Amino acid sequence: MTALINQFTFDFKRDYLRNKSFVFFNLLMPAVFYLLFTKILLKQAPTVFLQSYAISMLVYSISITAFFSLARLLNEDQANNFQELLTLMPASRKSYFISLGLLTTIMNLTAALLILFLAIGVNHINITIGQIWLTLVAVILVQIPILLAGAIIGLIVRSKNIDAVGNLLVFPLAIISGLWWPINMLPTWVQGIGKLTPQYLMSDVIIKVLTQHGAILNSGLKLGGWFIIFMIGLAVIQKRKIGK
Amino acid sequence: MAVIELQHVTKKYAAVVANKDISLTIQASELVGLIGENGAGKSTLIKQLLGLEQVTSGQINIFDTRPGTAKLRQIVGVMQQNDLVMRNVKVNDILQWAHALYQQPLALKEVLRITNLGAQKNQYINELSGGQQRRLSFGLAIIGRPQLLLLDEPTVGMDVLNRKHFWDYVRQLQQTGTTIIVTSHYLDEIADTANRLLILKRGQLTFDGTLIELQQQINKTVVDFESEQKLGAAFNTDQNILNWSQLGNHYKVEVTNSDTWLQMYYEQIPTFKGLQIKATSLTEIMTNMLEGK
Repeated sequence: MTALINQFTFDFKRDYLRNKSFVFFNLLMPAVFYLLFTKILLKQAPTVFLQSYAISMLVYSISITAFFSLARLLNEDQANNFQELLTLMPASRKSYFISLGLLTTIMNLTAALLILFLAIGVNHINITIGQIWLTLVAVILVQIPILLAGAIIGLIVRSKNIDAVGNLLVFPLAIISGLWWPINMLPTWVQGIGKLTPQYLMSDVIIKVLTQHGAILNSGLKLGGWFIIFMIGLAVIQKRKIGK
Repeated sequence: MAVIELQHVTKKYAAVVANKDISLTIQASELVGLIGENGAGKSTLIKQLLGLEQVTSGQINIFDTRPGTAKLRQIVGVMQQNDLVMRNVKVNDILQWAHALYQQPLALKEVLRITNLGAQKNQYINELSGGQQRRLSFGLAIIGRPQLLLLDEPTVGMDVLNRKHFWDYVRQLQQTGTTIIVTSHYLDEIADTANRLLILKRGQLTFDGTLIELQQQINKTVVDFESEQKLGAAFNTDQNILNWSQLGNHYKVEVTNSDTWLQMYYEQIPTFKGLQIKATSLTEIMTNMLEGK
């Protein structure tokens, strides 16, 4: 536990308190998009849209956390020898990964709170404290598969390509999973693919938890499938790295 | 007490043999200089000692255990060739992080004093100069009071004064019982500090001994002096001279035995000014070795 606290204190300072790109990309950008679409471009949008778009922007922020923040952090730690230092000093690699998991969870919860407060404060959506708590719990659970995917990207992609790969994943996935506009506006075959993406599934689960309307089992199970796939991928990569 | 034991260690990468059949023992409190040209296999050997690379064949024991174990990580300090260049991390942050990893660490103030980084403690690591980053890496290597210290090119980028402080502290560590292995291309520093030399050439251990033993093996002494006499003709026919050069009145003569040689020139000696007899320097020995002389 002491090792984890030490690692987390270190990571929290460098990647939360002093990380300007986190504030810009994970918090400000989704918040500005939310306000832009719900207050300026679409005036007097229905409550259902204001709610679902809030969750879309939250899922968008979670994607950025996974494919940019976490992937880049792991990649940089690998390139700048910090991961090697972990293996040379009596530091725990397990604590390092758990700490990064906690850190990205806090990033995502911060984004969730910001978006929900904007939905309540600016768009006057009626959300109870109980719903906020449930949404936060849902965020903690549904983020796991995509964070694992971000970790895989961070560990296998070369440093010079990490931002390009992040962009190639975040934006197309945001479009086909219906984060930018309703998924039923897309061609049917694209919808089929979009509905299998972790982003669509996350969004579906969170919105159903927030509105307390509809069953989450189907999307939850599919997310579980992604969790297993990414977990196996990460385990294989780690094993190969240790083997080297 | 044997700190490190290597038995017939060989490391191959596909067709490339990085280390070939290396066997040696390093005792406690030795300060060993591991030298050789680029690609001689020094870094590979260090990586194997750290458990970062597996041996292809043979065996390595460090404090009677295999490299890379949790027990060893508490007592082995490492200064890698590449420094940490992290964003958003201050010198104090990384030292505090490292401090918490060890059972009996040095106080942070002490580490900052040794590394002369007190003024930079609140500076971001990626804003430090090359020499300061090197000193920080040294701080991270010694913070856990290691019993074995591996230093890979430790003084690259350090200014003269910080180099002096660095080597003074390294000698102090050795005197208090720390076993130290250092690789460097600054051979004068190795010659001044190490009490044992290991020379690697194309992955093979070609020499294991002291600098004096190496100089004896090379069997060459340099006699340096100034003379207004024209000695070139005599030197050209002198079978005892291995090599000689002249710059104005300044002569530099390489012989196998300076005493015997000087006896032959005893009549001229009174006219030799600034006579100096020097053993071949490590730099010179290595240069000749690399040139295949």
